[in-house]
Amino acid sequence: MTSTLTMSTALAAEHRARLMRLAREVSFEAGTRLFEEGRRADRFWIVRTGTVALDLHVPGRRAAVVETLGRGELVGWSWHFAPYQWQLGAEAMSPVRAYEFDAGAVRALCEEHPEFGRAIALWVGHVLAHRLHAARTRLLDLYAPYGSGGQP
Amino acid sequence: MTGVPVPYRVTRVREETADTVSLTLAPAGPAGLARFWPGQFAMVYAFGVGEIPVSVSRIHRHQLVHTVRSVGAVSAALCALRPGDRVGLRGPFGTGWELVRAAGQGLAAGQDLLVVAGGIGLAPLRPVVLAALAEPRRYGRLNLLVGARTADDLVYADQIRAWSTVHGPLHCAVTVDRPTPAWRGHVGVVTTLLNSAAFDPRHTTACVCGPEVMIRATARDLLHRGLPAHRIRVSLERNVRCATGHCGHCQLGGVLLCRDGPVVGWDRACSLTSVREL
Repeated sequence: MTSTLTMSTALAAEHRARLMRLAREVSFEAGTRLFEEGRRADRFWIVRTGTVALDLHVPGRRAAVVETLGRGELVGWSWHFAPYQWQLGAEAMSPVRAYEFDAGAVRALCEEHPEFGRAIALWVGHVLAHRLHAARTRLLDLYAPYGSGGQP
Repeated sequence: MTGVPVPYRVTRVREETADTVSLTLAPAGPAGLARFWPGQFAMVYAFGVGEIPVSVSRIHRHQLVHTVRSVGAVSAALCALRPGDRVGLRGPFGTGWELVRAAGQGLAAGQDLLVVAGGIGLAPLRPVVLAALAEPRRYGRLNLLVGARTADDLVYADQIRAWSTVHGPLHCAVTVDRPTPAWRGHVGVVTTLLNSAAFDPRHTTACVCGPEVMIRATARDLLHRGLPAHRIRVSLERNVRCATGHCGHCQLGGVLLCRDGPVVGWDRACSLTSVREL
């Protein structure tokens, strides 16, 4: 994750200040579920300390952790796109302190202030693009004996 | 450096993972090879099978440790060695990480040190970490970031566990691509760990080794954070045969990696690693 993906560097000061006016400081004990796959995506978070695991429900097994997020990272993007449903689940792996945002309020602010809305959309899009690239890179299975699977 | 393999005796075999072992080698005769520096490699000859380049993963007086993953005929033969067996060694070859020289040039002295390893790429970087831990005052903040396929594929697991849990001068973080149910650490590509590392990009030397895709992603991220390209040192890998700069098998553009590498600055490596034909 490049530094520009964190809210503090991705957003200009005025947009950051506008967004942070909606922030609420929260904390989670390790093991707390932040959200569940398929539920309504009505909030999102920016991690201040600790680690959040994103997981995917697999029938008959424990939820499979697909990625972890740490300091400065955005937890949740489904709130930004209809139908506003979580694609994954999330759980605090350690004690977590975070800024929590009401998704509806942020979306309303985006509509009210198009420049702000564009900045938020770019930020979320950048985060998504990076996570897509990281997921594709992991598909290569680079650390396997022959990298992407075929013997040279 | 010698052109003829010098006999070494296997004094210890440590199984790192299911397909990777660390061989501790001592000279079988009165004289061994010249001193190795972190990042340099030896041509290790499995008698009757063949010879491959292997970086030193630990340097302890006259003894060398080489970590070998079984991926081919020669490496499989090396992984099957037992204490008392013999191999032939040529070397030392290559540029190495040149931390000492870098310190002399002001590249690493007093600077933050960022070591980023992917998979068995940690092997040539372990001597860097050990050297830095032996003289932490020479450096600023020390960071080791490691990516592995699974927790079971992590080499030097005991050492990493100790580095991760003991509050010393080293910040050590590990991430895996595929977590087992028991894994409680980070999951994701190794560059995601950069946010957890404490370093000032303007005053940091980075040492990076792993699959080339991982090296490129890490170098780009570090550049984006403000590290100058020449302070991003990467270890590249190609097919080394003679190791003396004559045969050309390890040629990468205008660079012969056995002679001019394997460690090169990103200012030199960037353009070379972006050419498909190379």
